[in-house]
Amino acid sequence: MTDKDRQTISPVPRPAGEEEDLLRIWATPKGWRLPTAVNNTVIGLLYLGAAFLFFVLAGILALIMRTQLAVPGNDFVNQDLYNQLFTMHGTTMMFLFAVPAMEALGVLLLPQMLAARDLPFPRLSAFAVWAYIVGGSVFFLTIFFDLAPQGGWFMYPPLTLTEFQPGDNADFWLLGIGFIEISAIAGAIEIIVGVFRTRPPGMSLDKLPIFGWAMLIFAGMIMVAFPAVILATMLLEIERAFDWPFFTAELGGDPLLWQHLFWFFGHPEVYIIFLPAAGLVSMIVPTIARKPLVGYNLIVVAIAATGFFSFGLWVHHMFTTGIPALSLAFFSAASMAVAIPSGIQFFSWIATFAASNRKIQFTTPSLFVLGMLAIFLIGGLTGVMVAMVPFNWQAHDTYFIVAHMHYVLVGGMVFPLFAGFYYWVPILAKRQLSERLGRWAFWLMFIGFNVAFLPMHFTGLLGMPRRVWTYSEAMGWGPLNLVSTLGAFTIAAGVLVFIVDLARNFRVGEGGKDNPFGAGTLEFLPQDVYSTRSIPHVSSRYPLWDDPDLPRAVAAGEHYLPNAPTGGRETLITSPIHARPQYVIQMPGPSWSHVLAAVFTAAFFLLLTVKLVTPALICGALAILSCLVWVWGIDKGPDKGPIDIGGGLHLPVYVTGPMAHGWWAMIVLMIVAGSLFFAYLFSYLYLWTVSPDAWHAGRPYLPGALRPFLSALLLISSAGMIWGARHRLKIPGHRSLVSAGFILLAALFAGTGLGLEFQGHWGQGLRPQSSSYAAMVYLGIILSAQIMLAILIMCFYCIARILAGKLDRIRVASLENTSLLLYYLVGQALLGLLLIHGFPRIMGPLA
Amino acid sequence: MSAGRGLAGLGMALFLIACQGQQSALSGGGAESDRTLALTVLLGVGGAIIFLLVAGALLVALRGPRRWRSFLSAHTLVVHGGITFPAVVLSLLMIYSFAVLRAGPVPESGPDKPSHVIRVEGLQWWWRVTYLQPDGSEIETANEIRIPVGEPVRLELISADVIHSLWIPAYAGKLDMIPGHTNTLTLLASEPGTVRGQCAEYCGGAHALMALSVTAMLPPSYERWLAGQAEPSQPGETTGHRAFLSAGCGGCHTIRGSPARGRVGPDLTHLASRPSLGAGTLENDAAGLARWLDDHHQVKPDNLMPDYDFLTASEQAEIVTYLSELE
Amino acid sequence: MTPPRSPVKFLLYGALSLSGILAWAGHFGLAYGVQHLVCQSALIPANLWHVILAAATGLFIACIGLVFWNIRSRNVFRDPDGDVSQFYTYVTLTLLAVSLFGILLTAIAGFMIPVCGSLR
Repeated sequence: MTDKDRQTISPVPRPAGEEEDLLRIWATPKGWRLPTAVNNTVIGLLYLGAAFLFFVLAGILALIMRTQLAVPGNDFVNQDLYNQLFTMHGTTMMFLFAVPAMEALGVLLLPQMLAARDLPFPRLSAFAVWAYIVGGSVFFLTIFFDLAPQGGWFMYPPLTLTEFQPGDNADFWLLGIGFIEISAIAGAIEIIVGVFRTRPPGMSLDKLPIFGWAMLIFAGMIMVAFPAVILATMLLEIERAFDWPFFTAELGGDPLLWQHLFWFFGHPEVYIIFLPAAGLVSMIVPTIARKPLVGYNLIVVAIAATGFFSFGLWVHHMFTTGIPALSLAFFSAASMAVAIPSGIQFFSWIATFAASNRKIQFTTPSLFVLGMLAIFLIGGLTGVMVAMVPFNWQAHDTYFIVAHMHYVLVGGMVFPLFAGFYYWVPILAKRQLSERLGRWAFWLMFIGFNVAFLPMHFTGLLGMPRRVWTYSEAMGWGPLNLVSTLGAFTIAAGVLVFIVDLARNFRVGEGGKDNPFGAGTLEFLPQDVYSTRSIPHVSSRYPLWDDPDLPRAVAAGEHYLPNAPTGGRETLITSPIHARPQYVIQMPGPSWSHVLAAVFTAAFFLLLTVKLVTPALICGALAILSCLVWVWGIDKGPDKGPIDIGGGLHLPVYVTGPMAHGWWAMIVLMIVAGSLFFAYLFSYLYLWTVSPDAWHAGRPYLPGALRPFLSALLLISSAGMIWGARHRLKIPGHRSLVSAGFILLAALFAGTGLGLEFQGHWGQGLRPQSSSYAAMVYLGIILSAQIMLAILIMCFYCIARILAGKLDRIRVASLENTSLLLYYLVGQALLGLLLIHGFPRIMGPLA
Repeated sequence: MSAGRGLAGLGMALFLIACQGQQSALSGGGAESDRTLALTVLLGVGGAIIFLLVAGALLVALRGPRRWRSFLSAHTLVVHGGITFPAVVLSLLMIYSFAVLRAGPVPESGPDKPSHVIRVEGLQWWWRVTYLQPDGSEIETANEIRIPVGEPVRLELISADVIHSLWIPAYAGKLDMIPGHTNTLTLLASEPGTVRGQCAEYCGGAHALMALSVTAMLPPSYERWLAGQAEPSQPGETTGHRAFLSAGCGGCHTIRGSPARGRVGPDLTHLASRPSLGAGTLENDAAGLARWLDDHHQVKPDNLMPDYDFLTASEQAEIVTYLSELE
Repeated sequence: MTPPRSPVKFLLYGALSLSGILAWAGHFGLAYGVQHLVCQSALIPANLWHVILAAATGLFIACIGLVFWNIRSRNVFRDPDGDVSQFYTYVTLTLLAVSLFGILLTAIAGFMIPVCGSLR
């Protein structure tokens, strides 16, 4: 675009006071009110800092383990503590460091890369962060009270059932996971809506920075993968607490069900961690080379393909369970397929380096990127090895796997994270980190890593299994283990140097160079608390390279939305494919409500874990109350007319329906719930194939056919009621009591429908403890009932809003979201009725 | 130079451990492990070559001559290096690995159906080993498997409590023992010898101390040994025997030929003929037995046997003598 | 003011561009699911296994071919923004090709390895 076009977006010079308004509106709360902050940079940094803290803590656990293993027959720690140590190391690294660190980068960087003022739901990410910090800290502290779980990070039942782990230790694991589940899904919603709807005008999907693509697939994978582990943890906790036999073989359960569910999450999890990190590399490499990424389209293909193929790999972790060889072969084949996308990314980075016209500078970020390439390459190659079924039978659960997965995860995630940190510090801090210390940190970590983990390939093939706290000298593993331990301490020295660098040089604030590495993407535009002064019009993948004047023009306010026309926090919502401006959202600012909601949510789960039921319920109620306070003020309605954002565009500040960002978030949430229900369907059918006898024995307890029809009828009428409520709303200023009544009826009908279903089975004498069949029947009802609980609260919320005059024909977002969820519930419950009442009737005669 | 020599020395040492190690996946010695070893070598060498190729390409991209770099920077390189090359290599590799997989036995059918069947049950933290005889009788031992050389032996793997995994790397890869499932593993040893196996699936507490020994014997000596194991032991009415019974050991342990009939712990009928105590934790001699009775919870924490520190020194010595004679 | 637009076009683009990978997922799920049923229950007789696998593989490959040919020859992703349509076309076609590879690998596994039995 020519200079003349750009001038036309927003007239300059801008009126005085605009920037002061922005600074005031977006200011971060100071002092004791700091926890109320919601700015994505503050929250993102807090998130990243907490994740890094857990990285250091889990690393210390690893050092203790390496010290124990340094020599044969060591007694530095005892068996019990060692078993807690490796469980905590794995769990903390995977759940409290890796996933949160990636989410943190998304929160921190995405809005900057998209030149949005913030993510679309600022308080949601703040809520996720606080829940994660409180819950994660308590979870980690258990190690100091001998309360830490000791079932391994994969927590296989029956070892983790109360029979073998009677203490609360295992419950703390389930608790820790609960928080990461909540914050991951909150993050996924944020990221999906953020990437699709808050891009700057002109940034059609083909111009989205690769990191955006990576985060999009990351979030999509979370939507599908996390529900499987949510279901798995529900099953385990229910079996631990109430003896519903999901995993007990004698009563028709199967320990392998846990493994299927856990790895359906657990394998994609590796790619959930790797993809964003690879996205970081795809952002940094072009800057190092000063050339656009070679094969942008192919990398998008690679990211999407990885996202899907990774779901065909879960049995990869079950090659030694004795299931048919062909099942293993299918998953071996998918492992081959998933290697292709990694190959694409690798060669794309090589090609981009090769395309450079200048001598590549080995700055700290480039060193970490190159270190990542070397380490990840080895991890990928050993990954192909372990995908070979016969080799896997030998290597599985040995130190070969320990070596392989550390090469994949440290190479694929930790090194890119460090590269990214050194690379993006300038957009957060007053000055850059030290090059000299950075090099020291890199070389110590790189050499230490290879000294620690390369020998482990051999240790494993020489027969050393994982998760052993001791070994005898006769095994001959001593020297290799000693070398590994020395390497581990070298890595720790590298991390220590990094911490020293942080302490000496990392100061949050403005003032450094805007773009010290000469990057081409928007996050290196001049920034302040409000993000960029104006939101640029984008017409290429590297706008800062193609238009050297862009930083000045953006900072001068020449582009879209150079001010705060609504007088509050706001950002631009654009269309999902072409990024055409659609409307301006008014976003909530700092608040205590979401912080309290997070704290009470954490307290709720914690108190439940230690079986203090009454205080737990009180905290649960307070958490819901805080959520209601939090959302009450958000739906402001069309209180301001269309506003001028520049470029001749006058946009509304309030929309509902498929164009609204809230509608999109609801759809994402419904997909998550759908994935959960899908995992339930899988579990139901899986247990049926394992123990058809339990289904056969349960057949006489099936209620008559009339009852499910009645339930279905009630559910369908409930959907009709909420539809009616929507259509009987009145124009603003008038309260529709009819609508309020319809909403009440909708909740009543849906609740009665579910209650009828429950009562049917219970009345027939079916008890969930009796068999896996019975447990599955009641679990289906629980899955619908928990959504019903949310709907009930939302219905009363909507009624309250109608009475308060805050819900009318225009200002309808609350009711719209409630009805979406209700429609979803009706669909899920109908499917559930069909399964529970239809499947045994069809299979009965066949069996 | 010295670094090279050091490396060569390390390689040599590794090679020696690999071939002599009793629990090494690189030693071979069984039908399955030999097939896998060939695949392992191919994968290792192939992986190293690919690593060198790709790392070389990266170095050239960073610092190489201009002409080479412009070749590497082409979009077609990404297509062929990232898609075509791995697709071809991985497909071939996969087909080869499937061929290795197919070479495995199909249990329970055909004339090659193994005639020796041994049931191995994993328990926290030991192995119950039962030889299923063709006549339907069963011979029970613990923490030790013996198999005839050159004849396929089918192991039936089950679990009594949590998930365990039987791994005898010299003969075959590991296979899990899962409650509610029976997995079968066929062993075929090519030479006589004794190797070590270990539980490979984390099974709680003393998982690290759950090993067993596997001895391949020439068929005639195997048959002789098995016939010996089938016999009850001949304990005299010694003081040790009485002390054993009065201490309540028979509540958990069986000694065939005596009133001890417990099923909770390992069968001790021919204990003295086994190479180790506590599932590969202690040497099986008088000192080992005494140590075990003294403080087995120190030796093997969490193991389910009650403490026997109330035994007097003389009672303990008598029991040790008695157990040492259970040949 | 931009008039409100339905997300139909967005969903269409999304589904179409992921069609290859969805075909792979469908084929994979079908192969694994049917095999599980053959081995774990008497619902599907074992001698039908190869027929089902061959039919499913043929069907999914045909689908991929059809979509590929359609997108290539008919410029399905017509869009005022040339970059966008080019991007979608490229990504979709490549994903179709990669998925075809994935489907072939699954089929090779299915035809090389006996349907049940752990081969240990």
